[in-house]
Amino acid sequence: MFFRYRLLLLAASLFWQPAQAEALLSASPSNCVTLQQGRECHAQIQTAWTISQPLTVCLYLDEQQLQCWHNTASAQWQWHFKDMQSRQLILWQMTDSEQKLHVLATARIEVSWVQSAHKKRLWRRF
Amino acid sequence: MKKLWLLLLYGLLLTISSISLAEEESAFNWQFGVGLGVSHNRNLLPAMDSPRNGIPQLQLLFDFEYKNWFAETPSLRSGQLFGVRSGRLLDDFTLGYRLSNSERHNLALIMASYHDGFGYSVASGDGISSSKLEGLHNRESDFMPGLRYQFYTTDNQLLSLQVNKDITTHHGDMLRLFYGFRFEQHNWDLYFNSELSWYSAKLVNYYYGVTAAEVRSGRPQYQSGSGWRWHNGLVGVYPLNKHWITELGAGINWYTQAFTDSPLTRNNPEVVSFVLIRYVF
Repeated sequence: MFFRYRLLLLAASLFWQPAQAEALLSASPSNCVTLQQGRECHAQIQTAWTISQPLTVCLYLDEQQLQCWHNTASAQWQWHFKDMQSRQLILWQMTDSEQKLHVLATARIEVSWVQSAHKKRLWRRF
Repeated sequence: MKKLWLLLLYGLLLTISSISLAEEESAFNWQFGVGLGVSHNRNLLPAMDSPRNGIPQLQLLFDFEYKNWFAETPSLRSGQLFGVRSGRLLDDFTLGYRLSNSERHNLALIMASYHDGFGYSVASGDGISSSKLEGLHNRESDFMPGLRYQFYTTDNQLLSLQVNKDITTHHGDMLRLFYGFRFEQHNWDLYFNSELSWYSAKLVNYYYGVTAAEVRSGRPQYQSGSGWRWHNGLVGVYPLNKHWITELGAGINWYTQAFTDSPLTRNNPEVVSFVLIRYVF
């Protein structure tokens, strides 16, 4: 009998996960291409996120805060990305006083280039 | 013969570069691209308006620098888009050797062909309707070594002065003053280029003169003095992804009366334009 309870507990522990807000974050385009390494890459990024219940959340680009929403479960937002290197887009759950609580979801914006920095840029002409 | 010279020199440079590549990779800087493009050309010579206008064409780009040696491929020259023309591969190269080189200045010996040949049989070979060229002697492509000084006044401005002399066909001279300004607009590179060229009477008469033997109805004899050309062009480059770029450009050329008074030519302006996509290795 005791063995049977232990087996049930073991089975339950395998399938049970602590309650966590399911979150989805997407960024499109997720890749920004510039002509030469070291040059600022520009892109209009469309961001969409969804969480299972309304919360106060903020979207960050690494450490830079981009936008916050209060008591919201999903949103779409577009902004102008301008950077020389790849960045992490992070959806943070915030406290009421807008302090970071924990990460809900992440997405990456990759910056790539056609030509590496050491290559000379050709002067294009007729 | 000059084409052979160019190819031999090019082969020699490639060989030297390949041998030394393993030893000194950093000294060898190269860019290779293969593209497909469409051009449109309102040529100064109406008979030479390309039948390829609007037809996709192959475009090869291979630029390199090895120590003082270099080769350059223009986006297009004289309104021609492609690197392969009439079976002549890669004949739009400028080969050069830098006599002095610093961050902003360089002085170089250069050699290139600047004027395409034309004439009754040349046009036929290029698939151009040549009835207007009937009775004309063939004008051969030239081969003009010269000296070029370039000065980057800033990272985005280029001033260039060059003088060339043909050594194979007309033996004429050419002097060019070039100013280019590059500006970056988001992910675009935009180049505005303006160039003033002077051509000696020998060159103008070789290509645009009409000798007594070439006179026909509606084509009087014509000989001229030296002439000028003023070019203004805009070229834009945009990255599609890590390996593909698109490049487009439009240019307008104005010629003085030494050119436009010739019975072989039409009135100003000459208009050239192109759009291409290129895979960059």
